[in-house]
Amino acid sequence: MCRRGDIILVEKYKSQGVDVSHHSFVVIDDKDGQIKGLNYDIVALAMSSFKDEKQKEKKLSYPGNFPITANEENVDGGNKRDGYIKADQFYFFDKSKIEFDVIGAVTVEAFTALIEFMNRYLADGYKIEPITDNL
Amino acid sequence: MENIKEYPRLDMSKMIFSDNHPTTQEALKDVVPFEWSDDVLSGKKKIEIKEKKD
Repeated sequence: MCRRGDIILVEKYKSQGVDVSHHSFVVIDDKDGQIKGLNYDIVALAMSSFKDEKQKEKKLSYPGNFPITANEENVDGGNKRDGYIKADQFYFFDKSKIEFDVIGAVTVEAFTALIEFMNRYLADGYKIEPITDNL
Repeated sequence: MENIKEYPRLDMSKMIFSDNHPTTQEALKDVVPFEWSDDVLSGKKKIEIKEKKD
């Protein structure tokens, strides 16, 4: 069970035979739908931390990356609590095909700001890349 | 978690999708996973994410 605003940690799934588990995602939609004829019940965005200051500067200059910070005590290495949500790519999931845990949530204020950020991104003429190989 | 009704819903019908459909593996290439504490991984504590404002 998860709902919009939740942060999920995907424990086990594969893409093209390669294990890409242990990534965290923000659930942005929890309604059933279809894309390319395939059923989904979660739409999520990937969360990333930064490798270093240089990468941070580069990533935050991209128009599709939304800056975030986690509550410090829950991140190993307190200086690595900052990161970004990659809002330009939507991951479509079928809950029955992945294993995940809900490990927290985005605040209402941050989620509202993220939705507004995405609406501005689209209004500026950018498009969203859909990722459907998990379906 | 806060009341779900307070979380705005994204209008999926207004999304404009690119013709480029990367695989998960390609999309996650540059993503650096957060290293959550053991308390988070064991479910003892929940993380809270806020917008970073400088």
